[in-house]
Amino acid sequence: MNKRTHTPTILALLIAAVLAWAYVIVAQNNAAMGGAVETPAGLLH
Amino acid sequence: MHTYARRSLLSVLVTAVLITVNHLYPLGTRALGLGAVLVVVPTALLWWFRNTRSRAAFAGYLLMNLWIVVGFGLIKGLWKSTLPVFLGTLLASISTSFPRPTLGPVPFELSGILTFIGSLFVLYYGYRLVRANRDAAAGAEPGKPTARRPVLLAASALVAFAVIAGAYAFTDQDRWIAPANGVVKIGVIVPASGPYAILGNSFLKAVEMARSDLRGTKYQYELVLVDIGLDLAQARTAIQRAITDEKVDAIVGGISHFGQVTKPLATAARIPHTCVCSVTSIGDGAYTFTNIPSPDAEAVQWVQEAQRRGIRQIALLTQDYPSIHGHVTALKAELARVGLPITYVREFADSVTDFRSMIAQARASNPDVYFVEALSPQLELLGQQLFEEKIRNMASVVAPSVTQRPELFEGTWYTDSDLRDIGFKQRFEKQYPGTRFATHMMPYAYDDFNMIVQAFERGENPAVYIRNIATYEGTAGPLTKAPGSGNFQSSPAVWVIQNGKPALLSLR
Repeated sequence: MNKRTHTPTILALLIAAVLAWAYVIVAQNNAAMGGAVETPAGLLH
Repeated sequence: MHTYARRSLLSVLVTAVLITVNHLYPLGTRALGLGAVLVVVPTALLWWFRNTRSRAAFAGYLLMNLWIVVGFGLIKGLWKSTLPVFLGTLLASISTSFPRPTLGPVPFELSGILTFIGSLFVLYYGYRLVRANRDAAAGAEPGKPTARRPVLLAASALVAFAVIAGAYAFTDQDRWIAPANGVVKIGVIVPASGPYAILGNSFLKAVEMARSDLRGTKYQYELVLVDIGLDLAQARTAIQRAITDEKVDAIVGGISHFGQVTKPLATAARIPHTCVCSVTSIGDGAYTFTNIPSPDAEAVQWVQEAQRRGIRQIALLTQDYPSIHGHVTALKAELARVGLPITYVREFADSVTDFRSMIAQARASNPDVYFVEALSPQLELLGQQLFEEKIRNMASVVAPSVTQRPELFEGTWYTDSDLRDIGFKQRFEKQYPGTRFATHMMPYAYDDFNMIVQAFERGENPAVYIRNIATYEGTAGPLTKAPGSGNFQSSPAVWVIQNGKPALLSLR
C-alpha cells in the first residue's frame, strides 16, 4: 500500500467531517439566537 | 514545475468559486464580478508567465495568491467564519463572558470555512510552485519533501493556529471597562416624531423617571436621546451616530420595527441593547434582550380569561398589521389547543372605514365575544360601529389601553402588562401630567434602564450582567430569562375599561 494514495481520501473525509460538524453548530446556534421568526414589526409593541 | 503550476491554478480557481458563493450573501450578484476577477486575473498571469517567463507575471500571480490567502482565507474564512463557528460557540457555551456569535445562514458559514480550507491549498501549492520555479531557474532537480518537512509544517501550522485561536478568544471576551469620567451614557432609541411619537415620548419619560429615581449611585447616568425619525435608513444613521460619536455605553429601546435595526449595530459595537419588542427573534441573548410579554403569553392569559367567563365561541375582527397578526396567530393556536371554536375571522386592511357588513356577518355567527384589535383610527371606527350596533361583548389584547376613545370600549376586557405596582403608574402620571402612560411599555422601559444601571454599579460588563440575569423583580411582575435566552418572559394580566379608564381586573 502506498501511503500517498490515501492522502486525498483522508483529506476529503476530514473536510466532510468538519463541514458536517459546522452545519450542526450553525443550525443550532441560529435556532437558539432567534427562535422562530414571528412578525417583523409592531406599533403596539 | 508544470504539475505544481496546474495544481496551484486549480486550487486558486476552486477557492475563487467558494469566495464567490460566500460573497453572494453580502454583495448579491456583484459577487460574480469579484469571482470573475479572481478567476481571470490569476489564469491570465500564469499563462503569461508560462509563455514568457516574465517575472512581473509571476510576481502578479503570487500577489493574487497572497490576496486570496490573507484577504479571503485568513481574514474572512478563518477569523470571521471558522473561529466564530467552532471556537466562538464553544467559548459562549463555557462562559457568559463570551457572546454567542452572530452567524449567518448555513451556506454562508460553510462557504466561509471552505474558503479558509481552499486558501490553505492555495498557500501550499503556491509555495511548491515557487520552489519548483527556483529549482528550474537553478537547473536543479525539483526538491522532494524530506521526511521531516511534513512534521515541521504540521507543527508550525499548529503553533500558528493556537496563537490565532488565543488571539480570537482574547478579543472575543467581554470585559468590564469603567465608564470614561464616571459618566455612563445610555442611548434611548425611540421615535420622537411621526405616528410613533406618543409611544416614543412616553417611553423616554419612563426612562427619565427611572434615572430621577436613582439615589447615591457610583456613576452619573446620562441619557442620549436618539430621534430615529420615521424610516429605517434614517434610524440606522442616527443610531450609528449615537454609537460612534456620542459613544453610548448601552441602549434602551422600544418598538420591534426599530429594534431590528438597532440589533446588528449594538452587536457590532458590543454594547447591550434592551428592547421592549414583541418580536422575540430580536433578542439574541448576546447583546440584545427583549422585555415584554410574548404573544404566546398574551394568548394563554386571554384564553384562560375567556374560559373563566364561560365563553364558547369567538369572532375575530382584526387589522392586517404585523404585531396584531402575531397576537392573532398565537391566539388561534391557543384556542385550537383548548378546543374553543372561532366562528368568524376577518382581517382588514388599514384602508377600510366601513365595517358594517363584516360586523353583520360576525354577528350572524353567534359569537360569545368579539375579539377586536386594530390601530388608530381603525380601532375607533370599528369601536364606533360596534357601539352603534349595540355590541358590548368585546375583548382584545393591549389595543383598548391605547385607544383615543375609551368610552367606545366600556366593559371591554383585554390582556396587557401586569402592573402590580400601581403606584408606578400614579407616580408617572403625577410627574408627567398629559403624557400617556402606555402600560405595555413603560414598566419594561423602567426596568431595562435599571438593569443597565445595576451592571455598572456592580462593576460588571453590562452585556455579561444581563446575560446572567435569570430572574428580576420587575415593575410589572417578575421577569424570568432562561440561560442563554435573549427574551425576558413575563405574564400579562387581564384589564377592563371601566368608567372610560383601564382597570386591572386580575390581581395576583
